[in-house]
Amino acid sequence: MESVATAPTFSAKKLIPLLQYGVYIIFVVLAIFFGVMNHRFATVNNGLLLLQQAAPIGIAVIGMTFVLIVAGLDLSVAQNMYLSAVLIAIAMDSMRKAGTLGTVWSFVFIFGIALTTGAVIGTINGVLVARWKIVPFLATLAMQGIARGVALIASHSKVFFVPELGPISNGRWLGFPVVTIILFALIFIFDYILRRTTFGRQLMAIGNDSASAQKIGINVNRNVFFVYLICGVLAGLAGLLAAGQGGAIAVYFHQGDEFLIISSAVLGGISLFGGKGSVFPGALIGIILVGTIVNGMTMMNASPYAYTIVRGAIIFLAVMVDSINYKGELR
Amino acid sequence: MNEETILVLKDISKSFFGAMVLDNISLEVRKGEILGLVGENGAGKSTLMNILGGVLPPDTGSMELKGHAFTPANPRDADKAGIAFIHQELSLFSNLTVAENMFIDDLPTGVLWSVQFDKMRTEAREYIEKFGVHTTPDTKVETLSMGIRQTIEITKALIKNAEIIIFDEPTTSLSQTEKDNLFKIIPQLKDQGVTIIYISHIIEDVFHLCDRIAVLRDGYLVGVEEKDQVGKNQVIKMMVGRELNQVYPTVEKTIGDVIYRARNIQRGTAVRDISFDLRVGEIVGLFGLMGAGRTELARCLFGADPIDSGEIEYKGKRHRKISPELSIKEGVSFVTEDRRQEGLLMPKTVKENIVLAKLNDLQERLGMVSSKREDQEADKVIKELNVKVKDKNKQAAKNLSGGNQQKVVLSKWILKEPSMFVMDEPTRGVDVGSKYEIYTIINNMAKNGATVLFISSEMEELMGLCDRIMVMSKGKIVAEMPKSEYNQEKIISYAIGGVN
Repeated sequence: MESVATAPTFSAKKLIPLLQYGVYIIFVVLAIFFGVMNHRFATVNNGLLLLQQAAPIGIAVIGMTFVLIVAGLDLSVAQNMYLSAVLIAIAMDSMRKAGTLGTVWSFVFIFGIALTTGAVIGTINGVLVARWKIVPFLATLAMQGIARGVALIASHSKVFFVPELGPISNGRWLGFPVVTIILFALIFIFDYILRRTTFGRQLMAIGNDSASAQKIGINVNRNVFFVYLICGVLAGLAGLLAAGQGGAIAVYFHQGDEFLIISSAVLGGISLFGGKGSVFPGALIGIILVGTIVNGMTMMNASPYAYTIVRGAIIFLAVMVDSINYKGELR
Repeated sequence: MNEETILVLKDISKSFFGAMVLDNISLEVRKGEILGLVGENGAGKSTLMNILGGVLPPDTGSMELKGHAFTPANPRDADKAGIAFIHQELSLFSNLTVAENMFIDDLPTGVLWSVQFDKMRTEAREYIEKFGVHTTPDTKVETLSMGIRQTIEITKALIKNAEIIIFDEPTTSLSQTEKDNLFKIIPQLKDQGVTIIYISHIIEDVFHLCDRIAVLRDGYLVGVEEKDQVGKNQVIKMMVGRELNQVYPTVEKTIGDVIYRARNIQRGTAVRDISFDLRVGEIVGLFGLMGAGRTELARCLFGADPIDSGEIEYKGKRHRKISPELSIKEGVSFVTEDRRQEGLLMPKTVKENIVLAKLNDLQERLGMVSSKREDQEADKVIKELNVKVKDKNKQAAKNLSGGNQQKVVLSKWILKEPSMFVMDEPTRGVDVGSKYEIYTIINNMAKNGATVLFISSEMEELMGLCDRIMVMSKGKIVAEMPKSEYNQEKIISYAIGGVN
């Protein structure tokens, strides 16, 4: 009896080769679809607009990439953005009254507020996760609530207008949107950090097997702490740029976008299970893909409710691709 | 202590929850030798090495490394002192390259904190060529075989200037060629002056490699012998120690009719065309070496894994599809060796664990569980099985000794009053006293009319306990013998050679 019955293999696994290029296929299909639906979609100008619109969220995606690489999670990014934007707006209100708004120093000050807000939230997340060993999901979920609460109290739930940030968020330099240049600069820097530095390589090791990393002497706690700090700072910056882009900061400012940010990263091939992914091309692909969907739907005048459906579909797709690609313990 | 001695262990003792695991071990390791460390499961080999590696502190005793007191507080200390471990599970990062893995904790960096990949590659290539490993520095580890990964791990130890390398059952996951290669590398290491401690239960390998052989049994160091002055049989005797006429509990019982029939059970290549009958009140042993397919068969019988083909007949009913739910409903229980994974909820209390499988039957109106009845049932079985527990309502399962944990697992199933037990290594990691009690429990169950399929790699206990032994090899049952025909050599030759 040498005949061995061929057990039916899990059919989704047969899709793996397809899934590896999945995001590219989705991108091409979507681009063609939107291009056919609206002849202005496939133009250089719209391409630049797309990159401009996607940039603030994209910067947050870079930070999220680092968190996911060490098998972490940060649910506080969107509310981090909101708090950062509110604090900037309050500072701008008082500077406007004092007449100092518009000077170089006022902008340095504004950037300082955004980055510091992000850094404070990132530090708290980092301490909770790395030092106190609280599950990232819970630690950052708590942080999400706290950041939102602080922002609502500070803003008295009112809407702020920040037109002065327009030149940064909507301006162009040498024909390119300024925010896009910032996004690409950050992608370059953080890709270098992840790919070329000891810190980055050790993050990959921690994400692969944190217990082994600890055992062979990598300072896991410190590295993980810095990851949350980076994610926080980048989210703070994203808050500033997003505020400038919309011109107004209402209570619904980017609410729920943490999931858009996470799924952008995951669609870009960064695994929720840690240890896998890159800033370039990984995160960038995710940013552009999600940006394309948002941009395309806007051009089609889609119903705002349709966004929620599409957002849900993106999250589902991202996680499904990741789970199927995950081969379990590779050792 | 002469100058050749690199490591001295003095009077090391260690106990867990009152059970003595190591009893006054004193051992000297010579510089540049290959010392074999052998012993049965639970003899204390890994505990001793964990103490050396700083994973566990000894209760008493001291260690000296190169003439200085050595008190590692954690694995990092041992590492710094030049003691490296090659475990069965390797600590390589599968998503990184070979070169990165070799240097990950201390990467060479240059301008702008950038890792000097070229320098790393060159150094890694040197080591790769030295050991004749078929890979390149830029290969990702996830694409490599276990043997190559192990060599990389050895290389890592050498990069850190390890002076003592401890191999813990290194050949378990290796192919024959990989094993041959490892056996070429180990003497090379010795030539470089590295001291090696080689832990294994494969006597042939130990004799092939080692200069001296230390034998542990039940926490004692039975002896340390020069390889040339001792024979294999002698070492085996030292390992096993007790003569075969050790007492096993017996009960008067009657064996009834066939109640369970397995026919042509097949699952992949692990379980191939297996058929057998079991009778009421019978204890049937299933012997086989690692990888013979015993556990796989047990899982199929219980329904934990689906079968490709075949059927079972139990209590006159035929089943082609077996699931754990069906098995439990029909009164089949499955006790596994892996208490931590499958049998017990470690942080939960003893009582909670015991009544877990019985909760449905303890329900009263509105699905409420009567805690009074829970108490009664738990007390009854704790007394019956002599589980040593101070307060069943407070003590968590993880705080019990291995033997008592296993008794809790058994209690849990016994409460269900099953008519058939499938037991997979139920006495592994259990101290001798508890083993005897577990044998008694099994005997009593059989006396009360239960059928027991008892899987074990300890031939002795099978011969002592079972009415009949089946031998498995390469996924098939190759022999079956009643108690009157038991013969150690015959059983082992079937297990090794398959069909003769």
